Amino acid sequence: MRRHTRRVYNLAYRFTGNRQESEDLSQEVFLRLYRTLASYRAVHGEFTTWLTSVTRNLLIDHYRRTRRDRLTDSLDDEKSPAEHKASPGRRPDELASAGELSAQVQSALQKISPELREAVILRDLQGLDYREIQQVLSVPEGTVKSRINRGRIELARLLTGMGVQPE
Amino acid sequence: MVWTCLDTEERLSDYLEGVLAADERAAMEAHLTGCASCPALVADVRSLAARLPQLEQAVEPTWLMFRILEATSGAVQRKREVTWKRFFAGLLAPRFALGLGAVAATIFILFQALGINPKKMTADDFNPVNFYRAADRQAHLTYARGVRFVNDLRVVYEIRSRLQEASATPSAAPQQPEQKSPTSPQSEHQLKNDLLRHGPSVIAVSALAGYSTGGLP
Repeated sequence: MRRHTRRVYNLAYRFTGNRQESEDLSQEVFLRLYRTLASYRAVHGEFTTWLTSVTRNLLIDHYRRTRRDRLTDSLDDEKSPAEHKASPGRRPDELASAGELSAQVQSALQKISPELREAVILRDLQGLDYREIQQVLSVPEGTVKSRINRGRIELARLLTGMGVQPE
Repeated sequence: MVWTCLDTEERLSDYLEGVLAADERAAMEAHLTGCASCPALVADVRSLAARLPQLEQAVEPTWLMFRILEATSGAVQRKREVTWKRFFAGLLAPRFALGLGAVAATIFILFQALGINPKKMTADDFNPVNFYRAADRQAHLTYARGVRFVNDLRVVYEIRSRLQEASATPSAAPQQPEQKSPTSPQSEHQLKNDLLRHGPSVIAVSALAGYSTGGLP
């Protein structure tokens, strides 16, 4: 249970970048899971894949629902860009800190499109293989590969822009 | 094979994962040696792809799991309500339906016995005191009817035995052979008819009156 909760919470948190929303979404995932448990069949693949699918669908629903709010927010943000500006002047040992990198990745993830974001999260943060991601996203393997590739490149550029150096 | 920067971008993950065909790989590496921007991109993405899986996981608050458990046990309760409905549907199964029928019949008989009219039923009917009174009244009524019936029977048999006595001693009234005696077959037949029509008590009284005027000893 704890392992599944953490997986769902992490996926939600990496996708939304908001702890409060991730907590609510995680709870909603399990409620939905509970209601649809009877419809779970082995044909849906592994339980983890199914769990990830349910979470992902809910995240996309949530993303669409809150798009309007976010657009308004981002307009507000543009008025004070200094707060979110990259910090290239930091020392390398600070950047090496794992917690900081995690926060920077989190920040960069929010800047790429949701299609690329979810693909990178599922592959590189959740460790799913291409076949599983294909099932979760319901898109062909070529599309999955191309989104992961595109997502990594955009993320790498954003992080470089933030001053993160490659190891 | 001509390899462009765009090709590098498109096949970067395949290259890093080592799934590029040999000729493509050679072409890309050749491009990388001569390109000014691509090697940096490859280094950045390689580093990112290596570091991302090692990022520590976000830790959910401890109460989250309990909140989820609580919420999903609420779902269990909702499910139980549904099973209650199923339980009531199960009452329509033949064995329960028969049982219900038997209970209904018992209640009907009890109502009849207690003199409760279901159409004019009031809350008072279910007051234990009234329950007792109604039962008591019904019992007394039944007893009284029984007593009356037995008494009537006794009178009828008494009359019959006297009539038989009278017919067994015809010499008792030899002087009036033409007079209609209550012992004659016709009068006995009449008595039966009257019995059927008016009930035993009335006939008994009138018969006794007839005896007294009939000049019995």
